[in-house]
Amino acid sequence: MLNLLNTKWNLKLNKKGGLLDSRLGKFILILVSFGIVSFALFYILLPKLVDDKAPESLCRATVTARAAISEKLWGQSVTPIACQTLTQKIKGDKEELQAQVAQLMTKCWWQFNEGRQDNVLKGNWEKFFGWSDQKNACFVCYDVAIAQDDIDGGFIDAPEMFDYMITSEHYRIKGLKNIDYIQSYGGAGKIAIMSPIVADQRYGIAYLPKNAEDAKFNKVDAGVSAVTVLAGLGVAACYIAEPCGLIATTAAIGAGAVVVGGVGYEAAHALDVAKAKFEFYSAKRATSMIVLDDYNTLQNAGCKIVKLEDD
Amino acid sequence: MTQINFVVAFVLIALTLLVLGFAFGLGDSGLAGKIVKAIQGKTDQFIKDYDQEAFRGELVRVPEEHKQAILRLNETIYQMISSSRKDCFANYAPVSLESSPYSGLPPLLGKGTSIVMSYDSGEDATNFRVYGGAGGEQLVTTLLFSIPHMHPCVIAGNADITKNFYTKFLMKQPVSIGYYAGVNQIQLKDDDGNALRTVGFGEKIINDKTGNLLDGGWLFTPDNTHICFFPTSSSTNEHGLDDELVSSLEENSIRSKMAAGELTSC
Repeated sequence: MLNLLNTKWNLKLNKKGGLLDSRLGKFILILVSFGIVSFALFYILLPKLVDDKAPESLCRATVTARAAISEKLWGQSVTPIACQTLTQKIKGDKEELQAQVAQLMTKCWWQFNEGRQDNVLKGNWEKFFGWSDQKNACFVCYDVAIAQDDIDGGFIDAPEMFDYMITSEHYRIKGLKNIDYIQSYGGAGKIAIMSPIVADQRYGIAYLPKNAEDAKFNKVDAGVSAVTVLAGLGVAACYIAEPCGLIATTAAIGAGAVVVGGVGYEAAHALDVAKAKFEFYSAKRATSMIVLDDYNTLQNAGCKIVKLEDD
Repeated sequence: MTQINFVVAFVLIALTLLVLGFAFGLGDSGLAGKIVKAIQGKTDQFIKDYDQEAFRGELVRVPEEHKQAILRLNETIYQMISSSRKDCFANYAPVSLESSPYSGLPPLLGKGTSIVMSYDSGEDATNFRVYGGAGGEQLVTTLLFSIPHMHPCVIAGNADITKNFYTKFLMKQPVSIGYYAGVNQIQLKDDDGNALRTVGFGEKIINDKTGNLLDGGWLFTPDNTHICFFPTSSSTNEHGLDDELVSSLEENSIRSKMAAGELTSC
């Protein structure tokens, strides 16, 4: 329709001359129209989509679509990701809280297509709108508030939460441990519990994609999940990545410890924790990760937070 | 004329906005509603497929050679804990014909396999975790085990410890105390050869030495609770015993003395 209008007007104007006669004028007009349509799509359509009942499935669908389309466009990520940071207020005793946190961690992994594509957050779309192109991008799937004054059974230490991920089963897939779901279901993954869980605090559960230079699929395990989402585009992959090798270099693991891949990562004082975390978030990642950390830390680490509602 | 062009451009932009506004403003019957429904149809189908999908991913594994070595280590430690003998030695490695110092574990291969032992004081047990898979970062959940009443230790940490150990067991002379150091965490990994890393002595002791696990598979227990590993060094110092004194065929080595029956076997 726009093309028709353009043609009509140009025919008339050709007789009189002006800006639209020139190729540059037409190009500018097309560019402006394209910008408006893109803007409208991004800011009107997508929020409408993510505002629906199943924002998590939509997130996954757009992640999958980006992966599939990007593969066809020589690694260029042009499709937007319609994920949002969902606020969750959770309550319960120690075990109930662990179960809820574990479920959210697995859901975050699910949303990001179970880590089948690396560098999935590096998007040309964001660059188009002038947003920063984060080299170590990460996305906060859940803003989790422990909505109670104390936890029956005491606070949940990082190693304890990690152990829970090892021993507990996925909330939907019988017989599959939560850690195996994140490590092996889809792409290669890893869990990092960067903070103990205490009452009345706010945490974030974030997805940190493997950020190798080029986004690509490893089709070694193409049979793992030949799912079809959005426009019939099939995707499947699994990845092989690099080591972590973290081990504490000071004293025994205490309440301030963090657990990366299950290895205690202790620090004698807060400054060391901050330094360790800075290194953790800024380092190149050879394996995608689901991270639980203090909400503000994730925010300061530059993890993307997209909220449709105000806090 | 230029003004007309601007008016044209303005009208076009307004029209674009109007079209989009209508499309998105008509709720479920509008374009946006249709797109939402189309996407949801696909995602709903996907969720159904997902629910029915059985787990078909490969669990993280380590090479069979590494798995067997870890199981031997496990058995050897159990044997030491259940032994009635104190100050005794045991070996977790297969018999070797190597005459120079060697590691009791097969090469852990760069970014391959690592083993982390963590002492849990609450449970009075040491939890073993093996890492492998993607770049050696993933937990091998099929090789998780815990050894009750085991507390890891090392024959290293400061020069007195290694000197005392050497004097007491290899020179057979009495020493007062302090010939091992209990630690809460030990990691066995590759760092230019098999290496031992531990918590408690800082970065500069033991932890900055590459390929420092030329232990020949020897372990020591003073009390059937502490199970000591031998980080090795080029000479006896705070980083460990001289590797020649542990796993080589030198006359004074643990290996030679065990073969001669001069040290107690667990």
